[in-house]
Amino acid sequence: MGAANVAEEAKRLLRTRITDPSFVFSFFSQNSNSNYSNLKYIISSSVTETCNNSALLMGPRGCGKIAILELVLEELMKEHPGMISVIKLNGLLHGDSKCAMKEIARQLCLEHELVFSKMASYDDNSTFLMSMLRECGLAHKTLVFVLDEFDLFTQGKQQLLYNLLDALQTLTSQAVVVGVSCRMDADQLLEKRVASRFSHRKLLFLHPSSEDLQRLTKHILQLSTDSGLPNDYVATFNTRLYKLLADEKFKGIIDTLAYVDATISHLLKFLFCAVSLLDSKSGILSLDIFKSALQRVQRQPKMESLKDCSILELYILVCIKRMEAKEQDTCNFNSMMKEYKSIHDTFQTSDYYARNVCLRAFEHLLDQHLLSFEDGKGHGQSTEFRPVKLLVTWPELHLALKSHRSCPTVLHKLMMDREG
Amino acid sequence: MTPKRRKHISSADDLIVPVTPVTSSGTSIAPRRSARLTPATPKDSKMACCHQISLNSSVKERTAPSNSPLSVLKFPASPPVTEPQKKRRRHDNSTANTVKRNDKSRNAKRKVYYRKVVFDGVEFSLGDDVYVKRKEDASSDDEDPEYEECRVCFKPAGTRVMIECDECLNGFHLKCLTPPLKAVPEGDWICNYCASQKSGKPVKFPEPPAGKKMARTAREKLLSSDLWAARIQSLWKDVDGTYWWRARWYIIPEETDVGRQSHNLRREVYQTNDFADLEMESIIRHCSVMNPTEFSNVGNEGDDVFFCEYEYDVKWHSFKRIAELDADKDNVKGDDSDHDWDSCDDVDSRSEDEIEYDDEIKKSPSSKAFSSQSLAANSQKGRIFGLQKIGAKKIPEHVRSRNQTDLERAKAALLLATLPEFLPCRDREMNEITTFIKGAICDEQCLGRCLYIHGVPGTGKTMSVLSVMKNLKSEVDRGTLRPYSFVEINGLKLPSPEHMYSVIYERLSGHRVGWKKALQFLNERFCEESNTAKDKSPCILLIDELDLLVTRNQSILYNILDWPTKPNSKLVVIGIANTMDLPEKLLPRISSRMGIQSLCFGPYHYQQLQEIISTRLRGIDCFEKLAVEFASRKVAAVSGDARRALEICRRAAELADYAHKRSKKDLKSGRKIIVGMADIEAAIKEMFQAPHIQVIRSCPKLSKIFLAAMVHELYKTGLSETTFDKLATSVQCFCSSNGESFPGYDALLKVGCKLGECRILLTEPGERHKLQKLQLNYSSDDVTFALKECKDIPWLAKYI
Repeated sequence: MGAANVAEEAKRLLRTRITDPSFVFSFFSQNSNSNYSNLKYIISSSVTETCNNSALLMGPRGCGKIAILELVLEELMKEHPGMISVIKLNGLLHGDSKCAMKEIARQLCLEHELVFSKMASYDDNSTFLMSMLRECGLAHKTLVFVLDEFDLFTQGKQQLLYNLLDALQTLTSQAVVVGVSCRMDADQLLEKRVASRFSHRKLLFLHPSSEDLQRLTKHILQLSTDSGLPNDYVATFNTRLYKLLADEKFKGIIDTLAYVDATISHLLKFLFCAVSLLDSKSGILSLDIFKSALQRVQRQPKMESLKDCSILELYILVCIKRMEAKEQDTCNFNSMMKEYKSIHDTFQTSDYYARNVCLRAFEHLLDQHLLSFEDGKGHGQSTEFRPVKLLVTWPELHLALKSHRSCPTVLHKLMMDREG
Repeated sequence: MTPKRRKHISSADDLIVPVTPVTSSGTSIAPRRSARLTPATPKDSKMACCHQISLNSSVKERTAPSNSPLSVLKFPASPPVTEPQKKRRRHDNSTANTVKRNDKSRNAKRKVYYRKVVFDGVEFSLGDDVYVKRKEDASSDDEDPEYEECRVCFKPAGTRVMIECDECLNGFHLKCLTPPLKAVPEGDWICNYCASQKSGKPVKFPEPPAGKKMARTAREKLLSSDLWAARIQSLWKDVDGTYWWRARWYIIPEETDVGRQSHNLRREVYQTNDFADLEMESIIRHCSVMNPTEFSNVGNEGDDVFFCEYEYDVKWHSFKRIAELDADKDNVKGDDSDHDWDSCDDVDSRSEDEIEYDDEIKKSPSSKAFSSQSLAANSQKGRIFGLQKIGAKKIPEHVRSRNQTDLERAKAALLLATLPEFLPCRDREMNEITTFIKGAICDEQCLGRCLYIHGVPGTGKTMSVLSVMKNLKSEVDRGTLRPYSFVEINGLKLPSPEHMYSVIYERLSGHRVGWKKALQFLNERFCEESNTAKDKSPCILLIDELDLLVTRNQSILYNILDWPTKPNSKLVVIGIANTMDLPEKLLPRISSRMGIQSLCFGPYHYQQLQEIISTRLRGIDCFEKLAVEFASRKVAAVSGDARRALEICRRAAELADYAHKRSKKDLKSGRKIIVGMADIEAAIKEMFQAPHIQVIRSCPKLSKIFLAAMVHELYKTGLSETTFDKLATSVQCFCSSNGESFPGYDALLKVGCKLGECRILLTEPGERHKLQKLQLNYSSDDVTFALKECKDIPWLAKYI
């Protein structure tokens, strides 16, 4: 096996690891006081003690709520084969209770190899659900309802939640309702009668601390000797990794990453980027790889599109900025053209473009969302007459002008003109 | 077949062995156990056979070699039909007799169904459990001892006490044991033979005295699958006068697909959904199959007691708990009282009532469902097909472990689903409801009336009404109250408010129609002037979540509340809702019909909550008294919702249990775990504390700076709303003056949007960029509190 091959193999292995949530989050399952073990306890107590439960998982996006839940369910299904069936709903898709009930019936039928009819009414489906809950309870089977985007189920009359949670109050059923939401006020959205039936078991998923992120990095990148790679390669790879992890500069990189966004999904994105940059000849991680990966992850799309603007487009932006600074209440293409003309007249710039060319540049800016129409006003008018607004802040524009490749000096002057 | 004739034939022995052990059949149907034992599935029977050998080998050694049940078992074909002379004669007699009787009665050639049949001097009624003969050559050991003998001295129990081994189920006199026991010990007891067999030593049971064959009891035969047990589903007399019954088989664990499982009790049997029509001759005698509660209360009721908790589906080989075993029995008993049993003057003859069952077979749902495999499960007009497929392939071990800890029992008792036997703290309200309903239906006229019940959620409104209805039902059964029909509807469980009509109509008449048609029928029923409706029973309509039925023109509520005012409606409406002012929100013509009778369920006081919790926890001592009081005080202060209080206690018990299970060290010490204040505190914290402070504390640095800038901006301008433009300037200012790097506007925008996603901020969509408006969703004090002692960015404190 050549060195390049080994490096490719290692790259492939690391990439599969990063994209596999069950590997990433198995890191958290070792901790005894983690959300993982709490959640596992709640669901398994429902399985073993034949009781009903409901819980709500809350936390910002990218902190692994669903991943942990999947991990727990997978584990429990291994422990109790055939005793747990999972029904997954998403608020974005099944926010309407009729549609949700149909989907529940469909998944139940699929799971238990029953014949499903699309024609069934809401009434039929809900009686079906109730009798399924009862039968499954009698057969000691647990139904787990996973409601992703839980907050979206709270729109309307909350019929689905009421029905599900009310059914949990009958003795023969054996079910768990797990809501997953990124909203901190998700449990406040419930109607009073629904909230009273909900058990208010809340599991909070927080941003991991920077130490956790460091350890997670180690967990993911560390190669083990049984991975099928040559031992000496694994050894050099790991020693290099440990050296890196101990390096203050590397810690700095992770901190910069966590400064903006400390979620696990962000870290994974970063690591994936880094692993992809891994040199296929040496196959050893280095600080440079992480540095360039950091740059790739922290991109500034608006700034970049400003830097790519043509001179005419910059002129247009500066004109609009000047007019906003003068506190003119409305500004549209025509008034902008007037300003452009006056600039041209005062400074006698070399490049003056015709109106139709300007219009095209103007439209391009609109497409890039550097400008936007003011809402609510002038619908149905053509582009020239609709009032527009600048969508970049002035300091941002200033920065862009400074770093632009070939920005005329007059623009800088114009920009500074009104700022003081 | 007439009793006198029968007595003439039978000898005195027949009283002990009531049926001559010969299976015969006048018709072509031979008694056989369907499906399972036909040659198509020989696997099962072989397996059962193997089990039998291993389990009963010790018994086999001593039984007479002439009796060879094994050989028969291996060929489980339907037994050949024999027709001895004696039988034929009896049949002739019986036909003659029936004809004579039928002359008196109405119809000559129909099946007549019975509730009770006295056969061979023994009364069999529906729902009885009986032993059934398995094969007709079992006559070799027909001396079926009714009484069990001591396994050591081979003498029947007599007056001395016998003890049963929980392993081999043999009986022993207390005196015959070595060493002899003085009294029956508590808990499980295993005889010396089994104990030494377990430890691997060869055991020899004492030989029976010479000349005495070791007789096996019916129980032994059943458990070694030489006999069958079945439940009588129906009894009838066929056209030719023979008496038949429909058997619902029981099955022993060895005969199931998975075989005996380690948690099976020795006396356990499963009910199956396998039926067979048999002649009465096949019955040997009664046995008793009990559900878990009955079984646990069994004292000394002989050897023919079996335990049955699960139903076994012979087609899908799956298990299911039996839900309505006892409910069924109650029904049958209740029905008995309605008919007179004196129709036959001869006490010895079969007591029969002339009630004909329409068709019992039609009623049994499982047999019906078998035929309709291809139908959709979820849409057959309320009937659901294919549910028999659901069932555990194996009964899981954990549900059968009977030694629950105190904490687990407490958790079970605190479950919302567990209904307590009586409801404390709602006596006054329940009395009021009772008097209201009684007043409404006891009047000769049965004037329609309405009652409106309101109160915050979790104060026991629905539960009180339902328990009142249960009490009234028992009064109806005792005959002190006129019968009525009761319809319960939940406004939130209906697909649309209009659906209510069809639901009511379906409950009243059993037919499903569309809501328009149902409305028409209901109008006819309740509004009709004619007095044809004199005989109809009053109807009580309970509508839960009444406020959901308020439509735009409120016609549904109008109809419901208008019917009771009609002279012959005999309708009583009880509406339940959360809002106090529902009548005020309605149109005047509706609220005037609603009347003034309303009942308020106030929130519970802390003493009441405490009482509710402690009644549920009666007999389970694992909660600190102070802890319960703390929980109930807390809930009473917030909402007075009993559900919350129970949930807090359950969660606290869970937390205690969880902590206990995690620290495995204490497990061995056997220290009793008490749910204390700390657990309750943690549960309350989880339930009531808003999580945003914790989330803000764990935020990335930039988010914290962002929030601090929000607060700063708020204090500066006094306006709660700000734009991204202004905010970005102040964030940049913060960063530059404190030596933090400013990551750029795009990153900042993303941070704002993420906070908006968590609803810590209220934001406009991020595409508005500079113009995006932002607002704090929580009070600025909360944010300040969360950010004040932030370790990573100590300088934040000076801005807030």
